[in-house]
Amino acid sequence: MRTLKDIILQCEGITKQYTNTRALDQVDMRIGRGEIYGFIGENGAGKTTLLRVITGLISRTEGSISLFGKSDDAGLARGRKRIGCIVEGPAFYPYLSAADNLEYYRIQRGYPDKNCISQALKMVNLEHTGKKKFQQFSLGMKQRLGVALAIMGKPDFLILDEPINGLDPSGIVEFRQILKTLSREYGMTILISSHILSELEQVADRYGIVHQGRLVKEFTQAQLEQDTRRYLAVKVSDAADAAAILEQKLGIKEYEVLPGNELRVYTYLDKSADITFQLASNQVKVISIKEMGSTLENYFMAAIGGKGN
Amino acid sequence: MLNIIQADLFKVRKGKAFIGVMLGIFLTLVLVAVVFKVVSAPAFNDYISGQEEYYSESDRVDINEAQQMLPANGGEFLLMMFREIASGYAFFILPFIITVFGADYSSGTYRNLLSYHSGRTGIFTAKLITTTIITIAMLIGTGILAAIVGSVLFGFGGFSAALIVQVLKAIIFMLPILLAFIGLGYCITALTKKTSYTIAFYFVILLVWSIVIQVPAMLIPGMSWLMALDLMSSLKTAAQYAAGADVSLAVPMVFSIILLAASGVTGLIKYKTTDFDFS
Repeated sequence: MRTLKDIILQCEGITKQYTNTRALDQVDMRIGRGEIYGFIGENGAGKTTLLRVITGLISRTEGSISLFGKSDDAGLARGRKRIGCIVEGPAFYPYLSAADNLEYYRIQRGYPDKNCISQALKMVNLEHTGKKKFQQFSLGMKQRLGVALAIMGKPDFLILDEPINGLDPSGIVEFRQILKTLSREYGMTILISSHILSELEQVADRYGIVHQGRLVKEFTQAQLEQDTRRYLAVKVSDAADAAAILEQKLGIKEYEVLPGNELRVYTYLDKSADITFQLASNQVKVISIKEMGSTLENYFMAAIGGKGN
Repeated sequence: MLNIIQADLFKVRKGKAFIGVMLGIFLTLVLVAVVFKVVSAPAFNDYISGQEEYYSESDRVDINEAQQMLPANGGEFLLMMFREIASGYAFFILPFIITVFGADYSSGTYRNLLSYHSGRTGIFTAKLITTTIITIAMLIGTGILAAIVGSVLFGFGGFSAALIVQVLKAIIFMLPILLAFIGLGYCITALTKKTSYTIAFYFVILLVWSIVIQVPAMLIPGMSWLMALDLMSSLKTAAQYAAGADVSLAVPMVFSIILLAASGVTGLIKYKTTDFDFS
């Protein structure tokens, strides 16, 4: 159980009402110290709106925010100085180089150590861009420069809005590595949004799914693994005998026995014929055997009440 | 606030706005100086004298009188130019407004700025101060360039402590009027959130305002006092006032302060209350 001191971000009842649209509707969210929180939703679901509210770019219609345990205006202002963020994609001055853009923000934010620029650029593999201007950067390079700015001041809390957009496969792998390093070595708390669950699957500890402005589901990585685990659903004449045969003859340990003479077998997924053969050879009748389990996409669609439900 | 000012000065130093404006001023000075030089040349004098039969009496120019108006040296050229191009400063400052304030909207960098610095009044004020600093640098730079161009084409001379004081006074008197223009530019940017609109509206407002003021001032008897509300003309008046001319600067100054206050407060309120949720 986390104490309040361990909560980095707490949103309660956040609502954002535009003239004709309710972009956020009573969103409650808590992120604890050191967590990597994956914030998932379709385009237009309200992800960026919530991040804008948290970072102070827009006002909230209702609800309260607490950053590092402080929810008054002065406390939020101090808290925001401990946040590094990319909201809505990276934004820089097009006529400045990567180093000059970061130097601009180093001066603006009052970071005394000039080395923080080269360190941040090195971390995102942009240390050799020299005088190349931001406007000449590829989309992936722009994303990485955004991350460099976000981490430059070694913030306690990192907010990244769709940071994987535009990265090529090797860039995505590198990016995951950077996030893991920031989390493990620097203890940063990270809130990362994406519209694709599978993009965050390998980095996040906990997830929240937002749909039509509402946070519809929160779950941990362990729950996700459990809920999306593939298995063989085996319906037999005698489950107890079948379990003994699976263990003794095939060495299967990962299985569950369910009521109604049904077993869930989590291994041997591509060798169902072997299971059928062994059970039949030992006088256990196999009524049905089929591969089951949800994909990440189906899981997400089920959470938002879509066709994967 | 100081950090924001320093950072924006760094950005201007790395960009092309200041160099571009100074290059524009330099070319203007050179062009005017060359025209002066040509007009004052004996060959041109002879040419004009030989063409007198083509001009009516009223069109003729007294060559000697015209030549007396030409600068005798670099110092005189400096003073003359400071006065003659003063109205143009209203347009020369626009790139600074765009670079320091407007660029945050066009490049989306307001996200980096406002997500870190929460005090929007401080940000707005810091950027106004930065633009003012650059404007002062532009005025000083104009003086230096005019001195160089004038000295090269009309000979070195005329530079004295009194001249420097006169130039500094001109800068001080012009500054409140230029601040009103800066406030206007900031207000338009905060209201429209787009630099392209800022440029368009700024030009339209300045030109339309001049016409709205000048037409009744010239056509309606007793309305000439309206000219004091034409701030572009008032820039020249401020330079003339600094040179000791018998002109009044009270109405333009009061009007400038009112315009600065109105546009500054309107822009600031809009900046403070805007939801920055546009791309």
